[in-house]
Amino acid sequence: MPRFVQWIWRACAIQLALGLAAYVHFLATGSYFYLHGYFWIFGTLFFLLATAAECVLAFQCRRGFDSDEPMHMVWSMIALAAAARVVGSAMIAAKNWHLNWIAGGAHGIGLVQLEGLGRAGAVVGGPLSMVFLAIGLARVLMVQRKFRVLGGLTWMDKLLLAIIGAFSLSQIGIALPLVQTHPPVATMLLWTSDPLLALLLVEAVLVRRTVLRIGDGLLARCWGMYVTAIVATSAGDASIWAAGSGWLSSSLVPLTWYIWFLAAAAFASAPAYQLAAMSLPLVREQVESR
Amino acid sequence: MVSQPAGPLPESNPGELQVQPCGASESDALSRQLSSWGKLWTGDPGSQHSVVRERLTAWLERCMGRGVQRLVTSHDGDLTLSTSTPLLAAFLGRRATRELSRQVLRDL
Repeated sequence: MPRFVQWIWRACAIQLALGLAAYVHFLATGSYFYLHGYFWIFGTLFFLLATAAECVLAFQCRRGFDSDEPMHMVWSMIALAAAARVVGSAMIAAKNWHLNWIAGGAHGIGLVQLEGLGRAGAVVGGPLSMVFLAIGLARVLMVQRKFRVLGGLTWMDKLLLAIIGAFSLSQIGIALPLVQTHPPVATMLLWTSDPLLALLLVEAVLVRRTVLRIGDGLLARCWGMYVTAIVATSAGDASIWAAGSGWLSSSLVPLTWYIWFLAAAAFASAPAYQLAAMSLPLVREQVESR
Repeated sequence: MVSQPAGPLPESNPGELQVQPCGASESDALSRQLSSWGKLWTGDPGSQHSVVRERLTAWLERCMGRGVQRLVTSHDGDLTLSTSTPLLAAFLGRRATRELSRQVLRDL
């Protein structure tokens, strides 16, 4: 495992251990004090650092390809997706930490603007980032198909794709009548999250087939990490829906928030694997020349 | 395919790469080396080709995955630089693949 990937997952493990301690305190006392403090400080910091690492690594991967290479466009899109996640995380952090000076005001007006900043952050780090990632993964699949690396679908994959498609259609069916009530633009943009996530899941299923086909190398792990990240994001999204529908008890709801740390760590690990594969010939040359 | 240089070298313009003419023995040595690399590229049978195949297999497994080897074997089931380089260049980039090829062809 590359050193940077080890750091990411060690940081994630420490983060989860701290979170578990806060959760145990919540279960024992029923108080949200430590749990709230944990997500407010450590949770936000982890997201900021993980998305920043992902962004830097993705741009490094992009630099490894010439502009006329097909994977240059792939890594450009993935880097933009990562950049959108950093900006979105920073905007949400500004809202959570009440950084009024970022919103450009103070007191009542500033707080209203902070709410808007938080919603804008959710759009930038959510649907906008997903659009870039979906374009990038679609291009990867095209390159994999060109080189006959793309694996065939099993009946289980097809069943999963059919379920995802049906779920997306049902979500569109729910959202469309609500457009007539003229909701805010940010709210309407956030409605696109579910169909976009469904599209990413479809791509993840196809990428997973390739990963299973080519085995357990650094590049296979890179794309495997994207599959993990997308599945974790979907699980987090589903848990929000389940909590909102009252399917989860109040003691279980905080437990679902930890899924997002796994997704962030997986998103950051993916370009780290790609970068490790690209730098391996150079590293080995340096080691052998000593 | 390697061809012998035919006729004198053209005069170079200012600013262009200066090519120094070499002797017949150096030219023959270069020609032999290029011919050897050409054979290694296409996977002509020989002792050195087995070294290339082993190194390529190790690099493919490490960088991409164990299953990728069967995707890049030639029609006769052999693994060569010519069959594996396009795939490696696509997913690792030209620069990394160039370094990887240097590693594979090291000392050969």
